[in-house]
Amino acid sequence: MATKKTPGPKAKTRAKSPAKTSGKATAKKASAATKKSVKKPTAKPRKKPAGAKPSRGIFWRLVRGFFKLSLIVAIPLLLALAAYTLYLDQQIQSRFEGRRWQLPARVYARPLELYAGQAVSQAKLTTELRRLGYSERLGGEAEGSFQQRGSSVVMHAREFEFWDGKQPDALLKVQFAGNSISRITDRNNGSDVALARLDPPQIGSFYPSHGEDRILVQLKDVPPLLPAALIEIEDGDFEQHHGLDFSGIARAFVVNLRAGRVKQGGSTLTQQLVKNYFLTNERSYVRKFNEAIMSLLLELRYSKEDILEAYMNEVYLGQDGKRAIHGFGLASQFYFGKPLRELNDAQIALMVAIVKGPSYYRPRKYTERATDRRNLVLTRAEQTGLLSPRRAESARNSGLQVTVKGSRSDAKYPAFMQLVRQQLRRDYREEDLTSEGLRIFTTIDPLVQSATANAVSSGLNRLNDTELQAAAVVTDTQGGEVLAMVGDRQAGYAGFNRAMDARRPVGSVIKPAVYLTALESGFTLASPLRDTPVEYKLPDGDIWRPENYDRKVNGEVLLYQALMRSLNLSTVNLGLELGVDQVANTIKRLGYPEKPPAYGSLLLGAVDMSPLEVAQIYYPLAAGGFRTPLNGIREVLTAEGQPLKRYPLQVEQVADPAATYLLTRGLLKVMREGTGKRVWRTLPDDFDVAGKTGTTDGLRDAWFAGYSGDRLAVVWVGRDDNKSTGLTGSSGALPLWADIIKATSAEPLSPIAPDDVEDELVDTVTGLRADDGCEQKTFLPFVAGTKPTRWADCALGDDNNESQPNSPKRKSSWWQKLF
Amino acid sequence: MVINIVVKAFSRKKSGRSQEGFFIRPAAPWAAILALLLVSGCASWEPTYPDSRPAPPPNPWPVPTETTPQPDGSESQPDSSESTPPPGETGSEPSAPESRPPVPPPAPYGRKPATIALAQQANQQASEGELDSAAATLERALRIDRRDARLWQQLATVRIGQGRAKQAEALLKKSNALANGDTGLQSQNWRYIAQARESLGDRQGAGAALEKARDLRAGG
Repeated sequence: MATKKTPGPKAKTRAKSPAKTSGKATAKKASAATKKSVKKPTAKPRKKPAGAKPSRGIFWRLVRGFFKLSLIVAIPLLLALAAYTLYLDQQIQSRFEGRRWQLPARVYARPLELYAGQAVSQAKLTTELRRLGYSERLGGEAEGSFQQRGSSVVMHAREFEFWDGKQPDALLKVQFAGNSISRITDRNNGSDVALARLDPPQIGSFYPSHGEDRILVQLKDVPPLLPAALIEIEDGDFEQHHGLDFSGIARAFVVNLRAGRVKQGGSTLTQQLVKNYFLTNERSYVRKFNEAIMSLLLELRYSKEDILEAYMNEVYLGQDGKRAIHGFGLASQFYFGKPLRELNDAQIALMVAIVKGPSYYRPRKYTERATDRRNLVLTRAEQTGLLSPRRAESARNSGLQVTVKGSRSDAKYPAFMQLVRQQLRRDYREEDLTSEGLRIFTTIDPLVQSATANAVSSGLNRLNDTELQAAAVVTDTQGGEVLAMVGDRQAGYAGFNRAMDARRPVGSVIKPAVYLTALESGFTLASPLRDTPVEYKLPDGDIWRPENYDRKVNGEVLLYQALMRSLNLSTVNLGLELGVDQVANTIKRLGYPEKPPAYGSLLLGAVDMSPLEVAQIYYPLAAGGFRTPLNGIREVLTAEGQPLKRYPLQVEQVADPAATYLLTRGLLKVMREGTGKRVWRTLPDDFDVAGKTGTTDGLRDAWFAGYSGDRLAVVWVGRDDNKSTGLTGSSGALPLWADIIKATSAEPLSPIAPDDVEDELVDTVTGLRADDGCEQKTFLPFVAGTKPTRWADCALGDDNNESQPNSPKRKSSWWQKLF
Repeated sequence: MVINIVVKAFSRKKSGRSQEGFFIRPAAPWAAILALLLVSGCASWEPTYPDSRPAPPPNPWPVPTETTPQPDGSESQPDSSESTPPPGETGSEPSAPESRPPVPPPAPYGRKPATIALAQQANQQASEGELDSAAATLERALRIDRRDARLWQQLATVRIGQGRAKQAEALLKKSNALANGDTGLQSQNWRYIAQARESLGDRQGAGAALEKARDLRAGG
């Protein structure tokens, strides 16, 4: 589908009528000096035959002949020159206003929302502000700055254009209590603010293959010192000249003559712009000639402001791998990690200094050189009155203030960027992504992402096996938003993305699908199951004889115990009774892209899935039976901020809410008493979570999938060569999962019981009703009408209740049952 | 009644300028304090969501008590919706042994000032026909509080307006799942479901939904 919408020219280009000004005389004088090179700027061919003095006889005829000949030669030559000039003119025009720049798509993380009660600690907020390039400054008055004052942060939040309109800047005070925000006030009047939204961090861009990247700026948004200093240093005569600085050219010409080759060019800003537009770095007279004509044409057609603005967006200012840094807007982000308008004097001066040789004056590498030239710029600015001596002096004394590494974080989140790219490819052509300046608002939460990456790398380091690899996916539990994705033990490594591309057998992680199917077909958590040997004939004729992990046979167990202990025999017996086909349908219903082949071994997870796919099928469990397609993008805007596409929240009920609730309660038990017990080494005792381990044959894959109240996370640990890891889901993947949940989840799981579900105390041996007389008892939830009615033998038998039919009781709270 | 004033004060402030402010102001400067006062009266016995906690595990683990920290902070504001009566009561266990404490009345869902503000903004956008923006605003609110059943209901009504009846029904069911015994809200949701089904030509389904709405109204 053609979603293309050509962005209009950004730099304004009212095609100026050729308003010629003064200064003609200087040009003439200079042209005499420069002899050849720059001669025919205008399209009007004016022939001026070489001096021919009348004479007589043969000589006269000869002269006449020569004159004719020269006319014959000169006229076409001049015509050709005129045509060529017209051609150049058309080139420069189309370049200047037609095509504009190819603007890469910018990709943003989620904006951080601030409100009272939000589980964002002071440390997290300041991390976010630094990520956004806010500077820590006394008072936090300037836009894009903040200051910590005890347990509060004062800031001047930036203006930002969101999909729902432009949000102005704001002076805020954010107060903290413990690990969350307690109050937000407007610093102008002290009034309460219910909700504030920071500008979103940019996490990457899709720039075209030739590698040019830029952030457009407008002259009016640029700190005035920048253009002033730029002109002062690079082209002092900019306001006056017509595109060429003839004295400069003359000087260069002499130098070149002496050197015998083209060594120096006295370039005006206009010429530099032309050079940046079209030309290679080749140094030749032909190129100089073209450049000169184009510069004159440019000056003829456009205002100084237009040219200056174009220059500031075009000039080459550095290299970041294969990405070329063009324009001051991007360079400001690249070197200082903040928008241009927030730069101080020293930073502006450094940018101007770099123009002369972005490679030679690379500030991150050649600090001294860059500092010297920056100070030279500052001194010139001081001498010409652009800066007061005091300001110039203090700027000269400051460090370079460049960020450690390029602020570009594409490289930081390669796995998530792949998700974004894949999703965009469904709707956009590659050219649109790399040239239309689309603004893409994604779902990634950098705070969650970095916590996840840390959990994965430190978890694997603890396991002390360099061959181990891992992947993790973290989502929310309401909007299907992917908050973090790690595809390698080094999250910043842009290689194989295991979170999306490594499809591995899932083992017992699949079991909840079996149990959900059962609970939807009338089984209860207390239904007795046979944990006895079973045989299944595979399609190839082989007989499959599953075993429990510990090779034991447990006889009769209750359904929740089979899930809790991840018993294979009872699961297979149950699944075969339900029908493997039914289970396969459930897996598809939960969100697996297709119905998996319905062999018996499917019941124990003989199906390949990526961690992202596992997250998708667990999502409905975490969301009360509602499926939402997992999604990495919220909105796409055009370069002008017009909404282009939304990815709206979609829900679909795919599982019975009561059955989902029962299953979740079973998965809570997995964590409390079963194979997930280990989680309590990490999580606080009262932080309920639900989940399931998975371990495949020969200990090749270790999985853990589960959820808290606000986070769903899936972790896989294994080896790329598919050899044994010696780890189970519990020893390999669960510790990483627990670290992720601990660092990123603010809400324990507390599923809401459907109206027709209530708890009953049951005997864990028989699954019958229990009371104080029973040693082994537990509360289990039941759908109305499915509660056990008979008392267990151990029960004291609450007088005459035994034979009483199960009256439809109204629901009671869990805490009532405490008493 | 007091709450209504709060709402009015708020909407006056916001009227006509849906997205201009950097942030959204709360109902009124004193709204938070008021909400605190309203809630603090019952805060002593009110944990997170009383009905929804899983049963405490048996012996080996310390029984978690109701002191679970409320992750969304303590500030909450009673529901401000005008059209819905107070939630129906969930009732106490009739056969409860006498040793159990008296059952406190169910507390109204503690909506957050931030989501109330966004809900108002969405209302404004929807009334101006800006349904896409209204939906985006409500999604933003749901990111802040996904358990607020009224937000899901409101998003569903926007979907109905957008002609996406199927999606609306799914959202209303989601709202019902989170209603947590608020039969008034559930009844309303079923009426919307009836409307959605009607628009898809499903007469019979619409009738069944209306019946559910009536039953809930009567039973609640």
